[in-house]
Amino acid sequence: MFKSICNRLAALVLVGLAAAGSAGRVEAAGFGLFEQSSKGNAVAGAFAATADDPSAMFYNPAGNAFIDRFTLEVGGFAILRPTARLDGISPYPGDGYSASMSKSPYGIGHGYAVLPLSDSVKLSAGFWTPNGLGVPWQNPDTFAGRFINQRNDIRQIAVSAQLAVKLSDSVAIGAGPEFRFTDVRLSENISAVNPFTQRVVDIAHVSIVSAGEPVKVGFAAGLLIKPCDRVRLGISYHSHMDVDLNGPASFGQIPTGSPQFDAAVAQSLPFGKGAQARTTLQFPSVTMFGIAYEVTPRLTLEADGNYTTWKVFDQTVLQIDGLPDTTLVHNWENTWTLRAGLTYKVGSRSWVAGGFVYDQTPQPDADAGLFLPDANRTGGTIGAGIAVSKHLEFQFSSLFLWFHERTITTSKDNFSATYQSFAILPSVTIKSTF
Amino acid sequence: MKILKSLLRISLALAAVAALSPASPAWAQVDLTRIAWIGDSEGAGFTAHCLTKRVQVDSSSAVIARTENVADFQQPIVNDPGLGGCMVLTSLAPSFTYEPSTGTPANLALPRPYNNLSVPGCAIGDMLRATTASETSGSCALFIDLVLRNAALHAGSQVDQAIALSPTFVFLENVGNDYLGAVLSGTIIDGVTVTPLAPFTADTSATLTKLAAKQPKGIVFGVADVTSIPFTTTLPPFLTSGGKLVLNPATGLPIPLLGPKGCPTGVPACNIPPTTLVTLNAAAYLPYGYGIPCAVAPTLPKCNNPLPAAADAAGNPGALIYAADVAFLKQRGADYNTAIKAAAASSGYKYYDVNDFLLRLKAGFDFGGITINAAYLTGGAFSYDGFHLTPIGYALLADDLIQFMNANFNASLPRVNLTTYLFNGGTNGGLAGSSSYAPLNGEDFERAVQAIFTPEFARQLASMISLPKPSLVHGDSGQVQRVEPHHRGLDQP
Repeated sequence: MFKSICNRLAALVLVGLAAAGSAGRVEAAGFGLFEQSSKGNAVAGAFAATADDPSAMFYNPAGNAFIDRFTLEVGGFAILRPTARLDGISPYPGDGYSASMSKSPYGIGHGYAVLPLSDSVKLSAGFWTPNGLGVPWQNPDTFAGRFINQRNDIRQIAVSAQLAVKLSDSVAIGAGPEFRFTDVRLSENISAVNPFTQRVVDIAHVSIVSAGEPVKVGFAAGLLIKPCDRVRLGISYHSHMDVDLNGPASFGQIPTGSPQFDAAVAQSLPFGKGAQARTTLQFPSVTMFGIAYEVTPRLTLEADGNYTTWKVFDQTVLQIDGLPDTTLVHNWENTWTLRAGLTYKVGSRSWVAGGFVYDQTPQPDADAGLFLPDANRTGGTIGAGIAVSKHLEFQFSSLFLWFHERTITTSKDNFSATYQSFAILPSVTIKSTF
Repeated sequence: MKILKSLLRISLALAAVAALSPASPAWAQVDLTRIAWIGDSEGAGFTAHCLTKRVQVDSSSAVIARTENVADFQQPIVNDPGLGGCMVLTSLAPSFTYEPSTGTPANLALPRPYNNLSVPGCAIGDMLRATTASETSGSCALFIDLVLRNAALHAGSQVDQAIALSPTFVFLENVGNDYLGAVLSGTIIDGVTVTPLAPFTADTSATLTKLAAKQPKGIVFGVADVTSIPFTTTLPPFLTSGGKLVLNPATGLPIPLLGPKGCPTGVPACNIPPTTLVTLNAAAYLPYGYGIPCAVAPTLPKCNNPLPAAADAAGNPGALIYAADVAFLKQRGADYNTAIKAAAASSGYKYYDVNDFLLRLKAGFDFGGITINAAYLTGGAFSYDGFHLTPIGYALLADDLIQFMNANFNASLPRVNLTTYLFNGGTNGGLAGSSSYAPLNGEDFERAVQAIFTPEFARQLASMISLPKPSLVHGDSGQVQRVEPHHRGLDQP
């Protein structure tokens, strides 16, 4: 009787969450990444309650407590951007201007291993990419936004070891430290008014690369409960961290054609002197809530809510030797994410899946622009797991992500444009169970 | 049934009232088909001491007309090299040469008044009444016949000709000639170089009344604070060397420049108070030692002589504006603007606060990492004369006016595309100088670097690595070192 009520309540909650997901404020977008395994991605990241895959290290560390055999998993995603463009608006860069980002794909990887230490205690280790950003504008020497950003990259890899403990057949916990390696690159030109021509000219190119890969330690933890035979509840948490970055700021002079002016510029910027740049980037915490319901023994439905504390990304202070400290105000907002996914088991070990995600950007209009033209997003996913043997499974998935058209005329950079993007993230993961 | 009919009548009446109310878009939109712009040198597109086609085509009214696709907009174009002698920057010292003043009118035969009726040098009284050179003086007399052409048109003053256009929208732009002459010459005498308040008020009111009777939609500019432009804010009141303040070794304090006022009897030159404005006119005096104590620069031939505080009999201008005169000019500007606001309220014209624009320009306009501000030579908005705008500056003003019209007339006019102005200097290239001059010697070069790369420029650089510029406090950024006592400069005064 209790199980029946429990299962029905779970079904109602799932329907409610799915309805909220289609209408409400969802998804922490920004530069967070949620694509950490093909199986997780196949259900649009709605995986905190199911978590029956080694990638539970990311989605819910408690999930690995229910894995009974030594399991290895490795894979990767390609990030393809068939469309990533802007159309200018007056006053700058002006109506009729358009530009695109480079279509070169980005790649991100993941790998996990789960080692049962006993029936109830499991040790896992792995790596994934919790945050990342790549904004490479085409034709960087003539791009109208080159004085804001020609290209920037944020790369962050998390490496972790976790312990998952099954407290009973229906309750498990998991936790472990998370080491994050981060580096940042950005490049842009510097402009000035040439006193001789009274025209804006490029006088220098600056490139900032964080030296090495600063390591910061955080943690992840999770709880998974099976309150009834067809229901799983999951909650997990990844801590926020501030990463201090420093590295050389390389200045290269761009001749203007005015020898006196060029000579003056040469004396005024630290060309060839390897000035040091320092800054701190704030990465948010993420809390995932999930509920999974076995509609039938073969069909599982899951809906998740993720809460991301993007508010920590409020400002960036950049210090470059020889130049005044400057502050870039972001004022991002905390966001909720809702995801929904459906998995259908085919045969004894294979599966197919699909999912839906609707993202709302944490980035206010004032901060939206050439560094990160973020926008609300709608995504759909498909995926499959094909078990070729008892020990080997190939997983595939793809996320199709539409960035909603966003017109920005009030950015702090006063660069007015309409941004359009569409991305495809296909993945392959190989899973081996021993 | 009766009640229903009554309700219907009331509803129709209310709908009619709503349709005619000023808030209705049909009433409030802006029609720029026939612009009439009455103005002075800033309206004419004057720049760097001259009126020339290269910049006139980018006067603010021309930029607005082009942006809004006005089919027939006419100006009194002067072919290059223009009239007045355009300044050409020859070195970052800085030093200038002047182009010949041999420009010829390009469309003198236009059989109707120009849309841009601005006449350099004219004050409000000239705009209202003057029809030929014989009825005015100064720069206004030099240019008025070129613009009004009354020998052929017989169409009256600027105001009369604007009315003759049957304009669909009017701009009345008088930003300072009623007291600018006092600043340029350094001679500040109310009633002589400064228009008294009473006639200014009467002329402004009469002008707006006359214009509004013909076209009720228009904008009237306030006057600019002529003490906050690069012409008056670039030079510090202290002695500098290599771009840095020269400190008195005995006191550790900066050494003031010398002026003629407030000195003990029999002493021709004494320290100027730090509140004194030193105008760009001083650039012609400092190289010879005027204003510099001989104890500091004994070899300069005119050391221990004061910088002049007023024009002399030969017409050489003054270079100092003492605090009392600054206060007088500021108060007079405020009084002018009070009068303009009152006249605007009576006429229905919208008051455009040009001082607010200049303050924002001083802090800097940022566009995609490009900063344009009021800094002399490197700011991009002010021309070499330190008073008139460049095509970039005129385009910024035009864009600001369009935003003002959108806000005040419930319009949705497209904004100005600034790209051509920023990167090409204007639609006709602007007033580009030469970059092929010989390099400076070491001493002058050091001074030039210090002069050009001012604290404002450093802040600008910071903003260009995608970080917002720090906010500037009004009045703090003008006092930067610029011109040194050096061996180059303008002709001996």
